[in-house]
This record gives sequence, C-alpha cells and structure tokens, in this order.
Amino acid sequence: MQFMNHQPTKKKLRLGDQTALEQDRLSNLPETLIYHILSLLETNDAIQTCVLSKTWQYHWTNIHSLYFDFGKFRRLGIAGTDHRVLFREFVLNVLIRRKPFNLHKLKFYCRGSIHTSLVRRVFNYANSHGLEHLETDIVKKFPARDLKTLKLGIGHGTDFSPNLFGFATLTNLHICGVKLPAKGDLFSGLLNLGNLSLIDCSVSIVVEFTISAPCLVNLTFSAFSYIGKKMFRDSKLVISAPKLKLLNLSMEHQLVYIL
Amino acid sequence: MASSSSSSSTQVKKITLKAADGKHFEVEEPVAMEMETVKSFFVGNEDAMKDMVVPLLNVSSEHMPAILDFYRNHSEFRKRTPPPPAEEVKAFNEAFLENKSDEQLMEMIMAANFLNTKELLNFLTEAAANRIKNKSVEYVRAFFGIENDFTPEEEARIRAENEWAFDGLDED
Repeated sequence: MQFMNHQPTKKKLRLGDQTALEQDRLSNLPETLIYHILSLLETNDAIQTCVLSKTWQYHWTNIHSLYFDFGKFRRLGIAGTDHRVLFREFVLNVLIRRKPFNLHKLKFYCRGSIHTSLVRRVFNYANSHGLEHLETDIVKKFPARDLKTLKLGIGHGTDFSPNLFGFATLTNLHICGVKLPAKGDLFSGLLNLGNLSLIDCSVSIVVEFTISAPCLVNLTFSAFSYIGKKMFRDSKLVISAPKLKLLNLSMEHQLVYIL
Repeated sequence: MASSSSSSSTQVKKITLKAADGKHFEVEEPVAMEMETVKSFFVGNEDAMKDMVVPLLNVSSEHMPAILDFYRNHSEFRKRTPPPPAEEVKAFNEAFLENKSDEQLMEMIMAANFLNTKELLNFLTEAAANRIKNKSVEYVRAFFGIENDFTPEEEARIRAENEWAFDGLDED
C-alpha cells in the first residue's frame, strides 16, 4: 500500500539488541489505540496477534472493523481442501468470537465464489451491529440501516439493480465497474447522498440518464459507456443536484444542466 | 474556523506551546487550534491567549516541528478548492514518514493521541498498521516491544486453539 516504500530500511529489525529499551514503549500505548491499529489490518492478520503474548491473546476480539477477502484464501492451494469451506469457517468464527460492539467498517470481498447463505449471515451481522462503512464486491441486499458509505467494486459489467430506497443515512456512494439499469433516476431515493462516484460503469440504451440527488455535493463520473453504439450521439446525461459544488467529468457527452 | 481570515492582514496571533522537555514553540493560532487539547485549554479563557504558555506534557520537542508541519499542510489541503490531487497529499504523507523509526512513529502516535487530533492520529495509526501487515510474529513483537511470556508449549496450544485463523492462509 501507499506507505510501504520506506519499509526496506526497517526490514532488519533489531531483535536482540534494543529489547530493553523497547520493553516499555508500547506497553504504554493505550489499549484503545492497539485495538484501533488491529482494526486497520486484514482480520486474519489481526487475529494472528493472539500468539504474541498473554496480554495480546484476546486483543483482537476488540476490533471495530472487519476485513475479509476470499482471494487471500484461494491463493493457497492445499490439495483436497475446499477453500470456500475454510473461508466460511473463518468468517463465522470471527463473528462468534468478536466482542459485540458496533461495527465501524466492513470490507467483504468474495471474488464471485461465495455461497449466498454466508453473505446473508455477514450482512445480517453487519445490520444488527450498526455498520457504517461497507466495501464489497457483492450486489445483494445490503445492510442498509445505518450505512453511511458504500463502495462497490465489482468489475466485468455485472448487473446492478438493487433497490436503493432503504439507504436513508447513506452519504457516500462509490460504484465501480457495473452495468446500471436503464431506468433513470436510480439515486433519487438517496436523500442524504453527498458524494457519488461512478467509475467505469455502463448503461444499456437510454436516451437520458438522470442523476438526481438533493444533497449531492461531489460527483465524479468517468469512463462511462453506453451499450448500443448508435445511441451514443443522442444520449444525454441529466444531472439534477442543486447543491452540487464539484463535478468531475471525464467523457465526451452532451450535458443538460438543470440547476 | 472563523477566527483567522479577518485578522490575516494584521499580525497573526501566536500561541506558545511548551513541549515535555521544556522547549517553547511559537505557533500561529489557527495551527495551534488544530489540536483539540490546546483548543480546550482556551475555552472560556480567551483573555489568557496572549502570554499563556500551554504545556504539552506528553509531546517531546523532537516531534513538534514535524507535527506542526503536518497541521499546516493538511489544513491547507482541506481548505483548497478544488481539493488537491491525491498524489500531492500522498507525496507529503510519504515524505512525512520517511526516515521515521518505529520508535518515533509510536511516540508520535502517543503525541497525536494526547493532542487529540483525529486526522494526525488516523494517519499515524494507518502507517503503523502498514508497517506490521504480513509480517512475522517475531517482527510484530519487536515492533510493539512485546515480551513473549508464553512457553513454547503454550504458544503451540494457542496456535492449535486458533487453528481456524491460521488455516489456509499465506504466511509471508
């Protein structure tokens, strides 16, 4: 990730030499900060800190965010094991053992091969733990109750047609690589939406594609395409957003402003 | 913050901060007010501004210049329209962390926690997480300065009990 490039200089960490000095360094770090740092890790890395010491054995159960990626499991090829089974067991174990605080953020990447029942279990858990920020590659019934941010990164032009009307609290929506439904005005139910990004999305033949959102402040729209080429010239993008301040468009398009 | 813009043509008000080791730092008021701890020091006490020295008990003077630099740059980023390109922010952040040892990073996390500035704290804890991810158990112990108080048998038992968390995962 972004801050990794200074790592090489630190790689050879002193194990023996400085231990006395270091002994106290982090025992001073308040536990809440330790929990916060663990919450930023992929959940499997956070859990593995249980072997560090007796005090650390249960630290991970206080994490405020979860990060599951099936891709991480799939990579390893143990002969005769179904990685979907391992992943399922892992995820369910985490949900059972984690302390039942509210869930701040969930990253849940299934890479197209996870059973619906597991997705439902995770989303139900998220809904009942007040989830605020979700990043995922699954289009299902989202845990919408307290959701503020939804980042959907799917790719391959998957159909996207969920009902977005339950998302009363949603302020940030970021959609990447999906095929949007041809009926316009998909976002009008998002009364609190302030930031909307549509990256690399497509829509099948429509004459007008409408984005209307009463509270929208930032709109990013890039690499948008129409399926059905001959319509391209006549297609219009209509943006109705009275509070819009920043419009980031990268496409060649006719625009109709309704302000 | 409403205070800064009107007075910018006259002299910018300065606040004196005293680091843990006694060294003084004169800081422009808006920058000082980025720190909730400093801000709360003055709440309901506006007359005191001029000559009051704010003691920052948990912040060593070694880290003060870097921390103040972070506030100055990030508050400028926040005010700018359109917002600065992601690369510019990233470049500043990377330069900020460059040559910072794990010890220094930890000390700054404690400082940011004491100063109660969310933005700096989030940034530094994210950096700490990046330094330990995908690292070996020994590396992470050294990073946090943890003494292993498990016997080899106990450690093996904990691993076995949590087998589900170690199964099927790359350890790199």
